[in-house]
Amino acid sequence: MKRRSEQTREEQLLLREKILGLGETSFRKSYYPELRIRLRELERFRFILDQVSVGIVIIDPRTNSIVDLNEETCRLLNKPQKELRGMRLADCLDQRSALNPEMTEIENGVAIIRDLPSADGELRTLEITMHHAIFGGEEYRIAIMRDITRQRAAEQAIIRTKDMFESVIRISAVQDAGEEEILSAALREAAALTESTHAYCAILSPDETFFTISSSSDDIPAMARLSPADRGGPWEEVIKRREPILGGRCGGICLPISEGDRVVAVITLRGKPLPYDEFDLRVATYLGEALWQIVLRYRAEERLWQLNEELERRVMERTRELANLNSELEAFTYSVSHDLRAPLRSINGFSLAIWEDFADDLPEDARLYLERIRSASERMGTLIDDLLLLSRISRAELRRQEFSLTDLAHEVIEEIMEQEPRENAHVEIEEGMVVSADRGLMRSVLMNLFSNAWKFTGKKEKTEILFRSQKNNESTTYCISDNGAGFDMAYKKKLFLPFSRLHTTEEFPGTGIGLATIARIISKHEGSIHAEGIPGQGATFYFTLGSKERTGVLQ
Amino acid sequence: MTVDTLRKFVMPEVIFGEGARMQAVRYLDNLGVAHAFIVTDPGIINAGWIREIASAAEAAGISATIFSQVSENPRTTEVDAGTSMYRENGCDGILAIGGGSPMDCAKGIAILSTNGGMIQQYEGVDQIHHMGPPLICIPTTAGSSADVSQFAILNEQEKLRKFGIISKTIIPDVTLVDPDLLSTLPEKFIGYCGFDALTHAIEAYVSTGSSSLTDLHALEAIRIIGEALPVAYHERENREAARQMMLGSLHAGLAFSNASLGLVHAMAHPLSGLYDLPHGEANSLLLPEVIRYNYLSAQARYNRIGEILGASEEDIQKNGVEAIIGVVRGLAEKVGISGSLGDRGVLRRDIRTLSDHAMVDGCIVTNPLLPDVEEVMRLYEAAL
Ligand SMILES: [Fe+2]
Repeated sequence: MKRRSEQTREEQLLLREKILGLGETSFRKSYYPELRIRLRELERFRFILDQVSVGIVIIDPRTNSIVDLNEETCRLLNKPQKELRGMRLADCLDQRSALNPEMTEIENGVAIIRDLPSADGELRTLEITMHHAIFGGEEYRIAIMRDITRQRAAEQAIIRTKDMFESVIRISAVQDAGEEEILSAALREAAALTESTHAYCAILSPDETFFTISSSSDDIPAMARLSPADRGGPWEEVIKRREPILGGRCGGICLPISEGDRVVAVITLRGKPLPYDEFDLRVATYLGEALWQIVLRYRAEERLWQLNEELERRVMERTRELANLNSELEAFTYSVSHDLRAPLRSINGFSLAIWEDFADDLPEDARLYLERIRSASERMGTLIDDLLLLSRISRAELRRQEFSLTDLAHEVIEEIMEQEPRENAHVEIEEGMVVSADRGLMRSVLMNLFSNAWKFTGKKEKTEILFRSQKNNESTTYCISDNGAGFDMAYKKKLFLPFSRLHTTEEFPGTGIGLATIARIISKHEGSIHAEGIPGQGATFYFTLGSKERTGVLQ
Repeated sequence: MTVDTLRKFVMPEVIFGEGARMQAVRYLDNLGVAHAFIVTDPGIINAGWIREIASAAEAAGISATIFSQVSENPRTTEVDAGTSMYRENGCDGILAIGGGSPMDCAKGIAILSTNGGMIQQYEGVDQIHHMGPPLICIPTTAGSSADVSQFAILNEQEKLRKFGIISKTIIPDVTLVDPDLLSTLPEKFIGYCGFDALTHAIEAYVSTGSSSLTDLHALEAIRIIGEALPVAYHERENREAARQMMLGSLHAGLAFSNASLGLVHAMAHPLSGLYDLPHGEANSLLLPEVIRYNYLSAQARYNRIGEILGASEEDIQKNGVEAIIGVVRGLAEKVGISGSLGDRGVLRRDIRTLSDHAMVDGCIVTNPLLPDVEEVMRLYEAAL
């Protein structure tokens, strides 16, 4: 603090002046500058409020009249400030006053006001939220207004787009229906989506001379389904211009459906209460295109189905022909074999009679010829027997039963050994083989295979025959092997064909039908057979028999 | 520097008379106050005045928060406490009821509530930049005249000093002078406060800042106080005397608030700071010596004062300043003031400090004669 001794006279005078109220800032209290500052703040705030894109309205709850409002409110309600002040909010909103009850109801809630006319003539949607507020001890209601026209429109667009996709899915899921029904269903969807009462689809004929008309309702008489395409109506116009018509002469929407450069159909929508807009056109176009794709798919499916049907019919026909042919052939074989027997028996009988009665009288040459005749006719007898067996097997029904394959094998081999005894033979048969098969047919199989084995081992010093089974997962494979003449694997496929032989009759006698018969029996059992062999060392035949369950009758 | 001819006269809106206090609610409302901060002292509360006004305010929809932690010499800490309470309660206007102390404290609170900071920052003249909230005063003592003045005197306890805040912005908006409230003062205070008011009038009258407007009030104050003070002191139930003391004090306040004061106050302030000596008592003990010192600089004016206080023309002619001092002393004795500063425990060794403080007190600059520090020291010694 300065001491007086340091304080100058000048300073003292200045101080005195201030004390007397004559200093630069020696003014008494004035609220005006402060008020001016506050006022400026308020003006600034007011300015901000006027820039906000939300309408703010202060309402006196006693009279329901507007006390204050911002600029946006004027814009939203399309009226000047002066006019709005003192008005009731409900009166500003709707001249029809139909909404007044709704407005009083909302109080603290939210109200949506639709179709409010604006300065530019468009219809607006307003969202109004009401709040309570207390200023300086007075209660007020605050209405906050937002223009949600665009938001609403966007929401509507999303909903309608979703509906549109759902419609397309529904249409494409229509099943077991004809083209006409599909079209009808699709047109109903299009009408519903665009709030139309009627929807039509006119498909242009390929020669572009007439339309085939479908409708969302069944109100078109069959007679009127066809319409000539030269009347110069809206459809012809759409086809010519290749672009949609909205309103005007068509009284709704007419739009083309094109395939490449060509307009193939026209869709017409009518009867919407409000005017059709761009969105309706988009929905109709999308639906129309989807519809056309569905129709095309339907037509393709239809064609495919017809082709299949045709093919199946032809296959069945051919199968039946083949079966006929087969049975005719078998009948022929049977009757031929059967009918050949009688003449053969005569040849045999009479040549035997010649032999017995005149053998001594015949010259040496004649006796030799006679022997040849007799041996040939015997062979022919065997051939006929085998053929008969083969054809009988083809016609026979399979009768499965469970039996011991081991026992059957012993039975067969004993029979063979009895007929053609041989020293140094070793036959080994596995014990306990039980199968489910046709015993009679299996006897033929074993007889054939064992006879072959016996036959082809005849020229060996020692005969070795082995019959055993190999279990392999579910199925069992049976093998009969010998150490006989064997065969060249190059011919293994030829082996099971009728009348094919790998050896000459002179080497080993046989008709060549045996293995074919075996193959037929095994295949009747749904089994399989094959053979392996090495020339001069032996052969092995493998066969399976299928299962009891899988017993089928081979046709 | 301008030529010394300009004079200003500023005063609050004043209502004087019995029941003036009941106008408080009307003024609060008019000033837009919704929540009044009432600054007072426990004595006033006990007397029931606060209850009366607060309930009237409530009835008018104005809330009230009452603050009564105010000492005899209001402290800066009390201003701080009051300001916090003012803010916490969201008050928007101040009503001060009481003597000089609650009113000075209320001014301090008004300053801090809008300017913030420490109240010491605003010491001196014209240091306040933002006006305070509306301030209404209802004085209950005749003397300080804080209800009309631009002064606020506060006590900074840690430094054992008093300091003044002088600004036209702290002149109250309204003062409601209601003689009904005066009856509650103890006898001793009537004397001291009366003498404080008398000193205000005398110093304003001889001030170099005086003017015709202030003279009118100063002389009227001296006349009224000279007559009424002894009666009021002796007859505490005398309502007319009390009423006159209020009126005299009001006049004195109007005079000194515009003409300012002089050496008595400049020297009295340090005494109250250092010894907690009542302001009026310090004034009364210093007044005679200062009159003696100033006399020749404002002889005619002092003579006029003497005349009003009852000194005869011959006495003044013959004895000069002693005649004036005589009537002043006589009046002091009538209201129980006697003795010297020494009797009140003022020590010789403190005189230098006291003088230093007095030299920088704002009141000194309008004294008719500007003393140097040695002269001030001699004056303290003379009054010892
Ligand atoms: Fe004073």
